Amino acid sequence: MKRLFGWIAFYALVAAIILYSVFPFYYAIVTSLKAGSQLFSVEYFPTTWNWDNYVSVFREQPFAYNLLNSVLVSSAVVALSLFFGVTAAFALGRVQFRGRGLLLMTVLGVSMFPQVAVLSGMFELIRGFGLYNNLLGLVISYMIFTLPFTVWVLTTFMRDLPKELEEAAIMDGANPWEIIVKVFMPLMWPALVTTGLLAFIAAWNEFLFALTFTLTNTQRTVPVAIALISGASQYELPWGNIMAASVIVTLPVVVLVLIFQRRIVSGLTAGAVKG
Amino acid sequence: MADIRMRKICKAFKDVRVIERVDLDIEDGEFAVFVGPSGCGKSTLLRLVAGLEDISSGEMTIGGKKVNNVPPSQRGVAMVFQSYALYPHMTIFDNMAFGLKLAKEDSGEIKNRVHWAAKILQMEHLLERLPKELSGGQRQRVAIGRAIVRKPGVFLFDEPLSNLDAALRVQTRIEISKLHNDLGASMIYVTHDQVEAMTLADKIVLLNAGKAVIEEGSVAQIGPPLELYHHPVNLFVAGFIGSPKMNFLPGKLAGIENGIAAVALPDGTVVRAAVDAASAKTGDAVTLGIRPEHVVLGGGDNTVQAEVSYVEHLGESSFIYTQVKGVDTNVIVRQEGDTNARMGDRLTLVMAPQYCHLFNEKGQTFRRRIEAVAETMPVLQ
Repeated sequence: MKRLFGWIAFYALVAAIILYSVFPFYYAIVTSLKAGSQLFSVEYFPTTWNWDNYVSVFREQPFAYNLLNSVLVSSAVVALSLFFGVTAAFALGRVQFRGRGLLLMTVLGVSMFPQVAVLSGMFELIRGFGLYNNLLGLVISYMIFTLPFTVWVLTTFMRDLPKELEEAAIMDGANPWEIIVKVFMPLMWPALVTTGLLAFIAAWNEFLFALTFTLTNTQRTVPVAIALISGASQYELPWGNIMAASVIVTLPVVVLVLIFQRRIVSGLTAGAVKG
Repeated sequence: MADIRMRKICKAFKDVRVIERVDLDIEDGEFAVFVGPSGCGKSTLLRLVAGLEDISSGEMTIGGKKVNNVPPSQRGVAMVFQSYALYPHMTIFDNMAFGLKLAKEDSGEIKNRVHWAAKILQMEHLLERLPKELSGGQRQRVAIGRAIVRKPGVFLFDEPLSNLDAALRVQTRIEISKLHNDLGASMIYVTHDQVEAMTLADKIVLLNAGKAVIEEGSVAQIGPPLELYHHPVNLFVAGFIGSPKMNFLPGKLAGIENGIAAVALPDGTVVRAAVDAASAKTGDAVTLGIRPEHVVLGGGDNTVQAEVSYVEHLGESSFIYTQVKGVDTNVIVRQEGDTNARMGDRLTLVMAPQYCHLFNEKGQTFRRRIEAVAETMPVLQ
């Protein structure tokens, strides 16, 4: 009896958590499939399958451009973060030098500044480099928050790799770059996938820098584009379009996580057993 | 030619002096074993040869070439690590070929060399597997194979057998010895296991630990295994080589007759030792040493009275731990086969003069007069 009660309580809690986290997205999907005044009636299940909103998102603004921008920026951020993260992690995790701890702390310290605090300085910097309204400016500014955790996670991971492995590679005649690429990187896949995915999500969802450092509609990334979707008049918010756009930008992230989730888990367990 | 010469080699980590004044020659094709208590720096010395650590001072040459500043891969050495250190994501073939690929060898040549090495180690059927699919012993072979394919002049082994179980250890030990005969390369082998040291080595390098490193230098004694066994230069070497360790009895030099030293033990008995003690004078404090396998039970001359405090039966032999009056530690007697000695029994231990070692107050050995001969039992007078 007591067991049954515990069982019920447990699954009630699980259901509550799922409802809390999934319902907003579910409601967005349902709303995006409605048309016209139907939007304002509360329904929990889609009654009609109306794809007009999805079409009009692409027709009424350069949403395809925005998507492409987001993909470009996020991919570039992931690639650069991982490159700098891995090379920095090798230095911080495997090479003995004075001030290593201080350097690591500084890297961590950088990530503690709120975005707003660096916004104006960053703006001047971006303009100084001539990167205003340029995707490259976004890539550089995003690395402010992706690099610290990439460096930290990869450094921790790199430090735990056995020293003998590195020494065996040295005896085999590998230089540091070959050690990183041919010995360490293949062993670090789980960490690389995890940090890469987190960096991708952070860059994909970023709003403040994207809003500040871009001017024209064709240079905007998706989050900004969605926020700036406007209706026919200033008194009308096109909820259908906004919901459709939201669903479109969320799907790639969900798909990515689902694909790599299995990889992450299998990678972690494979690494856990002494190989 | 891959002979190794070390001249006044020192290594310090910050202020800690780990290796002091090592002068050592390892000839081409020689099998040298570094052995010593934990913390004596034997692995560090090996890593100095490998080039994984920098030499603080002194000069090292391999094959006549000074290598102090030569990177590891260009020294013509290959190393086998204690933890195997195989690349987990590569097949056995790739593990063994990795060094050759980095050296940009021709792919046909790589294939030949890997198959040649795999054939020597009888593991051609394992080449496509991953390290995690192999047993400990097989992994160890791959680690050795990875060293073989590079055809080095010098093989370095860092406690390669310590992760294997006892049966496999013996088997692999014999294989390494065979490999040494077949390849004819120089080998340096680090171990804390003195059976490995005694069985494998052409030359044992016994290293000091603790204070002695600074006072006497890192090397306690260098020599063929049996020389260290029969003619240890001091108390430390005498106590380290041999298992169970040599019995030490404190005493005073009572006199020297016909070149044979007479030692008075604490209980008053006098034991004669066939050593050259001319440098000492009567009344000096000395330590008498005799190995458990050289003590026999019985009567007659040169005997000591003892009481049995403990007996260990190993089947092929027995260890009798005895208490001699005035001696703090047990005097151990090794008996072939079984023994009927019981706790509390009183025994007469015969310490034949030709098997007695004698050390002066500083622990240095008085040279034994009798050349060691391979005998299992001492000859009774």
